[in-house]
Amino acid sequence: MSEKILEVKNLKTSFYTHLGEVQAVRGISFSLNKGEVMGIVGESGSGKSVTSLSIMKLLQYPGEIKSGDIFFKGENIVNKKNKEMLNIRGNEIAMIFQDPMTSLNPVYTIGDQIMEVIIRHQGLSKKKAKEKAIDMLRLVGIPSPEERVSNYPYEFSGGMRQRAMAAIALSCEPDLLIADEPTTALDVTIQDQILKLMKDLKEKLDTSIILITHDLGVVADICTKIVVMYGGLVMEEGTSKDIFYNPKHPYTMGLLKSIPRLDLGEKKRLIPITGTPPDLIKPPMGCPFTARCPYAMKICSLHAPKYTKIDENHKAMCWLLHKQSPNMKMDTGVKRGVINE
Amino acid sequence: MGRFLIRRFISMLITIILVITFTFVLMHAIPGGPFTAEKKLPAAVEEALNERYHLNDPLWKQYVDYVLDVARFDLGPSFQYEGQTVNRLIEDGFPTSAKLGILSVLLTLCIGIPFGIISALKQNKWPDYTVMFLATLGVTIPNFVIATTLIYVFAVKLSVFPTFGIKNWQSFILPVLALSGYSLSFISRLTRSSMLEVLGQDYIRTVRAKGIPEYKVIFKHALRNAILPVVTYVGPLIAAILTGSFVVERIFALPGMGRHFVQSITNRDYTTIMGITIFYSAFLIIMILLVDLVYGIVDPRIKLDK
Repeated sequence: MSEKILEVKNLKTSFYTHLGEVQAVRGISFSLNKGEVMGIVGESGSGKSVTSLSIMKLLQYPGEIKSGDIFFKGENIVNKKNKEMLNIRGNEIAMIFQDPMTSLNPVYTIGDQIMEVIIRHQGLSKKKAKEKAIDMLRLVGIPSPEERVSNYPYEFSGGMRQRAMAAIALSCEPDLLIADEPTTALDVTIQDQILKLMKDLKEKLDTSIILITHDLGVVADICTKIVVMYGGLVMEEGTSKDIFYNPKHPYTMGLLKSIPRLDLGEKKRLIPITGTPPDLIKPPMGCPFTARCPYAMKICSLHAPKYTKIDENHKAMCWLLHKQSPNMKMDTGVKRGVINE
Repeated sequence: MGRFLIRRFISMLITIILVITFTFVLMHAIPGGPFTAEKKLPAAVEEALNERYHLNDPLWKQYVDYVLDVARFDLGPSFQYEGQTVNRLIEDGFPTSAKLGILSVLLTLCIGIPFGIISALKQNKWPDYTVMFLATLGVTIPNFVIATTLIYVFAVKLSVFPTFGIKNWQSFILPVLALSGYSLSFISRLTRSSMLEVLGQDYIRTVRAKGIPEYKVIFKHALRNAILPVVTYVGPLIAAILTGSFVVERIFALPGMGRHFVQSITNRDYTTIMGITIFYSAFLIIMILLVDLVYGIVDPRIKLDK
């Protein structure tokens, strides 16, 4: 169970635009064990998607991995050639994208698009691949898959398309599945179905999953481990219990306070995190959250804090956790935390 | 599919009738007639000519007669060329124009589309800049300038190709180049922009995430989506190029159909104006129908029967 499937070490990814170098990911590290489900949480522009594209090595010009290592099954893939990556992508690491409405090629049938990846990586004949595609559609819960396999994407609803995307991603039984905001574009009932589906598939196929989202509510249920990203850095990392019941970073607390809850009564307002994320062309010297942090101190804007280990699995990057910091009483937003267990 | 074709056929007929009506009315609205000349003909001669070509009949009768003739594919006698029918004029000129046209269209497609793709793949690098520079030149420089430049360089200075007429295959080269200059450049630009747009789509990222080699990403997934605007443009382009270009055929002294477009109007050659216009419209309408059929094949979202 403790076999490491993925280990990211000090990854830095930048986009070299004409305005300057956009440092989208500024040195992040985390690791993922086999069969584990990890959530990466953060708002838009925090570097979540760039992290996932870096792992797939699918960054498009002008994006580039600047430094750092990505070990996948013990092998560093940062320096792997594109040709080698072609055998990993879709086969050992697969990905589901945010918007199912635009993520399938409109001019090929769903079946063709599933078969393509099966034929590419498993070398099955067309006939066998089609049978497998039908099996995959059945697995992801598409009714009457024998007929649906020859439908075009426009004949599928949003939820069904996301299921089809899952079928594509899982058809080669990847070791690692990266789901980049798989439910963001879907309405809540479908969200729930897709999350259930991912959970089931994880049980069945023992796939490790990285679930990227800006919605803590989505990860609560399914993830064993959560990484909170902000401004291209990991702000806090811990088990879901740590993050939901014992958040240590003010950004995590802010996120928790901004989730709508059923148990709070109607009159209660959500508390947003005010302000906007930092400009990553000129990232702040200190902690990127300083400008929006209600507890910011002088030192926060001058020096980036180091990680403080709270326990074996839980760490956070905040000056408030430093021995010499004043003991502030913080509204952690926790007491209302409910976790499905 | 059958129902679609029947419906389209009916609407094509209506379009043709409208084209005939408008051309007919406009043609007769302009003062003067086919036998108006600087030196006035004797009244008796003019009367006799008008009588012979039924120009004395009331307009509505001329119109009805003409429409009925067209229905029998008879475009009438030419007023200008003694003893020639308009059908004959088209039969004589069209093969030359069509030969040139087909070669130009082939050149346009075989070079324009690959150039557009290369340009899109090497965006903002030297191949892109080179192709786009040439394409901008091709779009902005009128074809008579291209034609005369080609003649000056290849026929006069280097004398590798003939300057005019059609004697052998070499004589096709310069006219074809001059004729396709604009469309080739336009298609390159169109393919490039369309390709760039498609390559930025989410589904292309999905294909890449499946580990599909890049050549398949481009030719199987991107091109089929990117080609639609090009198909739209190619239909009318074929109609326009195949029916001949006045300028290019003039400069290279080719016996094509292009010259009739302009000459028949200055000559007030009623039947030829009508005949050429109808021929061109019919051709155009058929090409547009073909474009729609190709659409249905390339993009499954377009259902022709609905």
